Amino acid sequence: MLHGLWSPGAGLLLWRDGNQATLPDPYARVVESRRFRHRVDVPVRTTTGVRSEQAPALALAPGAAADLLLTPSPTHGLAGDLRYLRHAVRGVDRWVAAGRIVPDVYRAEGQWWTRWRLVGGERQRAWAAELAAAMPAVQRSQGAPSAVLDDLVTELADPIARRRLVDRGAPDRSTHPLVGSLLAQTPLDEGSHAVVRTLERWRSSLTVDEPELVLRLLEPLDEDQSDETDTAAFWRLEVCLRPEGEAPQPVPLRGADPDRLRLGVRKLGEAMAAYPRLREVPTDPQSLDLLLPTAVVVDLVGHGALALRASGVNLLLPRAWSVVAPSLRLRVSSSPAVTVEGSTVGMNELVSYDWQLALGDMVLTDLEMQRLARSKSDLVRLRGHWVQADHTVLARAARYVAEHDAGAETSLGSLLAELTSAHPPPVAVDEITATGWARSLLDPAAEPVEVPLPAGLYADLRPYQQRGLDWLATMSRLGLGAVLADDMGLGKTLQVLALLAHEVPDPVDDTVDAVESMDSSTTHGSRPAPTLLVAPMSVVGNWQREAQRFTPDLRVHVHHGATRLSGDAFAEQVARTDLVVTTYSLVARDVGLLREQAWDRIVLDEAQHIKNAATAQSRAARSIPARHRLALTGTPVENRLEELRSILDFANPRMLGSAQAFRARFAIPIEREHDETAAARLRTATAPFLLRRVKTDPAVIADLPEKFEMTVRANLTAEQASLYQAVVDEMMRQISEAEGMSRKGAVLAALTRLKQVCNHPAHFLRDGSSVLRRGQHRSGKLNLVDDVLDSVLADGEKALLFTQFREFGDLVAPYLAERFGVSVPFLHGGVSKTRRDGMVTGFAEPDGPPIMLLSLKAGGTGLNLTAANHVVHLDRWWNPAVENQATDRAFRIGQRRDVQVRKLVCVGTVEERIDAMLTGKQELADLAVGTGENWVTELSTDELRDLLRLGDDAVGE
Amino acid sequence: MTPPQLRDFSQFGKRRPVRGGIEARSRRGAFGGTWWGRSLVESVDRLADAGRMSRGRTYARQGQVVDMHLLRGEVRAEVQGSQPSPFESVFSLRTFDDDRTAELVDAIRATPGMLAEIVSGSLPQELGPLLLPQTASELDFDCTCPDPGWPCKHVAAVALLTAEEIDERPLGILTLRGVDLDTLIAGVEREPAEVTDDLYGDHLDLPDLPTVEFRPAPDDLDPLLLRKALRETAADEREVAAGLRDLTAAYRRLAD
Repeated sequence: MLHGLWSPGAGLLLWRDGNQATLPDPYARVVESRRFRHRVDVPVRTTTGVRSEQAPALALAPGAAADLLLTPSPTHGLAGDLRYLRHAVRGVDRWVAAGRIVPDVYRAEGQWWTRWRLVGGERQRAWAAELAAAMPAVQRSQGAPSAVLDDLVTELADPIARRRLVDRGAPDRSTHPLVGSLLAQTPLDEGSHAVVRTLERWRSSLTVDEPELVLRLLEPLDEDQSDETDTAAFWRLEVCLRPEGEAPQPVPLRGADPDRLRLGVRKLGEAMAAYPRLREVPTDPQSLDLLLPTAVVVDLVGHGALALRASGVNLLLPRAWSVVAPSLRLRVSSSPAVTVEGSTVGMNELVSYDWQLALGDMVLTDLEMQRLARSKSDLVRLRGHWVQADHTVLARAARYVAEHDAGAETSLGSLLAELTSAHPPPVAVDEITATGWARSLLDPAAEPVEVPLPAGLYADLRPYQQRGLDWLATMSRLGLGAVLADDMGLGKTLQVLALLAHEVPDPVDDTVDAVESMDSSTTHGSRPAPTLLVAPMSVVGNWQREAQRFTPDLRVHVHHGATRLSGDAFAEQVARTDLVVTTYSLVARDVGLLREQAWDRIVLDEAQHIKNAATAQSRAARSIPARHRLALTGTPVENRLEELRSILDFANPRMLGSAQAFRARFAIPIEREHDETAAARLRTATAPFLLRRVKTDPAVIADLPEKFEMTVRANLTAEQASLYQAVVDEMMRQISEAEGMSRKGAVLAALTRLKQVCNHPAHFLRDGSSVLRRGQHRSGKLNLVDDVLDSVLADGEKALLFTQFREFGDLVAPYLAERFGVSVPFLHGGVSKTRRDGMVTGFAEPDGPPIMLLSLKAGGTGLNLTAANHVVHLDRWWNPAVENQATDRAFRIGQRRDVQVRKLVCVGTVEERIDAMLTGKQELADLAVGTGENWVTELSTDELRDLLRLGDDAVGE
Repeated sequence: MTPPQLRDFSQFGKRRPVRGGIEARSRRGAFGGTWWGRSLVESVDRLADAGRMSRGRTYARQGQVVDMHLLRGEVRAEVQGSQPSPFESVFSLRTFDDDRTAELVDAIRATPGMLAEIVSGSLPQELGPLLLPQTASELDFDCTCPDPGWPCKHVAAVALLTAEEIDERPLGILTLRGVDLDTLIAGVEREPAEVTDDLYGDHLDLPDLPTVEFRPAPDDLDPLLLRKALRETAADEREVAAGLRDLTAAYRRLAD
């Protein structure tokens, strides 16, 4: 049999044992043509065991060895060791054929050379490990299996690669010295240690198929699950490797694949370099795992995780891990519900209260609170679970609770003032529960006491309106000021009239009272004193009409005009009246007169009129005494927080502190710093006094369908983009020379032009050119509209298209009419009333036009177009209120289908940027904020450039 | 004329410049930026004469060391001197026998966290007395140059650059001592020698050949580093571009 032995340093040695078997070609040829001139020590089995013997051997140079071992042949006559080497070499050839080789520069015989070598990596490593494990005993006599195999692969990869390249006629020269040296096997005169280093770094940039390091944090195994033992326990950070597409596997120290171990060790080293605290912790003797004290665990999760992830290490946290913020809960008890009609409690009524500290869902006991407050760690064991909470915050909250004695008594006003004081609770108050009369006020879970539908009310109340009445009645009974802030159109007027009707005694008694009306208002259980309602002039008439219609029994007096009553005449009239309606301007002018009357209630309609607390109207409104104070507004949060304060200050004087203190504690933190805690505290303090329902809240009003609003983005065409750029350049040139009004003018003009460009080139150019050019859209936006309308019409539905530009409508309407083969009415300011009505009726008919264009101004009011359930805003007014009003044409009570609202903006243009700002403002409005108008012209030149510039992404393909 | 053994070889011939030799980080003063590097330099300093060490520093800083390999027990290098061919210089440390390895393993095991620290690539100073050469017999210098100095300036340069290598990768000390990381992790246990009847592997089950789809290795490697290597060996960018083209073509041929 012919044997093969790979000897590091000598290469392939062939030797024969006593069995003279016939050999296949090419082995026979090699053996016959060459002399066995070498000697090799080989183990031989004898009767007494294994001993070493010298055998004559034939040495082959690497090239010849590769040729011989790769030539296909039968294997009879070849010993297992030789077959093993053939197999190893075939493996190398597979890698070579797959291109998994790289050039390498090395030094030999005083010169630099270039050769091919395997690139390495996890798969080659796994292949070599498997091969090393299978190495025959005779071959192991040459050294450690992995070292021997490594030598063989290093020596033979190059000749095997060359063989392949020559077979396939690859060129053997290159003008590049290194590549030429590689292909032609010539010395590399330009070689250096520097290039060796560079190639080394190049090779080691291979990481594609390497297993990832996964660090898995395990909770301490704790026999007794007591909370007190948490400080001593260690958390295990399990060190795992995750081969591509497999589950993470731990790396044991013993019995593991040594290369796996080495890789794990190296990767763990990298992880430790990224997060050095891991170096300071004890290790597990059985594995690479690290044992972390809780302090390190907290730091790991808080800081280390980021560093580790940044360096490509995966960190798995235990499932049971929860990060919680401490929160406070307030329990208030008060005397049982106020039952005696007419008796009020108000802000001075005493309540007793109790603070509780909660972690997540767990309300802490005193003992737990004391233990956690002492804890030096952010990671604590609570009722068998690990929870992470900032221990300094926890300690502060615990101290707050301790300082506010359980069961303390205070007035309602002081308790609420606590929330808004300069030393508020240190963490969010996320739950208030209450008993007694305070329950309906403070406990969000409590429904106000239901009141029967007033006999004197000639209208049905929708469910949410009934709830509004219940709430108003409760607030009135408790003598607490209230702000009803329902969306416009939800019937605030009706709810207030219902409250007045509710408080008027039974009509049966009423007739008696009416007879003695001169002095009835102050007598037993009779009509209450009158209500003073202050409203803008424009809606005074409306109040009058609504009161006549819904509560005809109420005696209404309008205090208005040059001939209005004064002095005793006024007092006498007031005494005979249930509702006195006046205007804001008269409140200021007649404040002396009004203050002299005994009012049961003062109501401000459109209370945003007193947003500025310093005006004469505001001061007058605040100064008029009344048992109950009520403010109505549809938009309390679209204005600045100070306005909210001003309105609430009218309803409950001094509740939110002075304007100055409020600005420091709430307005600035919320508006400028987006301080969520301050916002939450303000909500907690104001929520009991504020009732706001919005049209879009489906839970409140089941009658209204959901409205889907989306911003749809269109690309500019190249033509639009170049026009857009030209407008921006022109404006920047103008404003560099202009100041003041002319600068503002230039900016506003540019804004308009940019919107026109975004709409359509012909809209901007006003050259009467066609909508399409050679059948292609010139406007990305209009192209998008085509698509939207295609699907709308395919579903048999209808769409309203709004634009603020009449010219654009004139351009688009004929185009759409032709494109969709339908008539497209265009309703704008120049359309006569008759034609306008005709358009509206026609659109409502099932077989009427499916598309209608409206100019935003003309279409914004007084139209009912609920036949459409698609609204498209072709261009933006940049004023959500105006847009929403237009949207409401299609979206109002009575509309039964889902309404889809699309607001079109062009990508990478001022439209998209302002839309993003408006969305941001919307978020602010939800927090309770907003900003003024006209802000674009106030921007600096740099800010303007940023706002208007043409983004790289503006033009699509 | 002075007898040959007393000649100062620094006076003989000018050293020939080397292109792309190993760059020393030290520009002035002593070599060895870290405790380990400094300690190694001190060990050598105790044995060497000041003049040769000084010239060794110059050699190291001038990049005269053409190529250098840190291996088990020794650092082999080629150092360009005044003669046309570089000298072969070897700086050796005595490798640990099993007893000393066991001593080292014990010391590491006795300190919690020390193994983890070593694993992460840093070497605690406490191991200094164990790992650093304490006597002249633990060090050796060898060079093909005619200078009988022990060490000559060539090996001195190699020893200094070795110190810089140790600055960067302290675990190199372990390699020089013949200790590998796996041994430290797994202790000194030796696998029992396998007894087999199948001496020649005649009844061997060979593992499967690898099944690999064609994908040129450079596709998975950092192309900037390849360009850098090609640039370091080329005259201009035109050559670099040609080299990349020819190399890519060669890879394509492998698959044909």
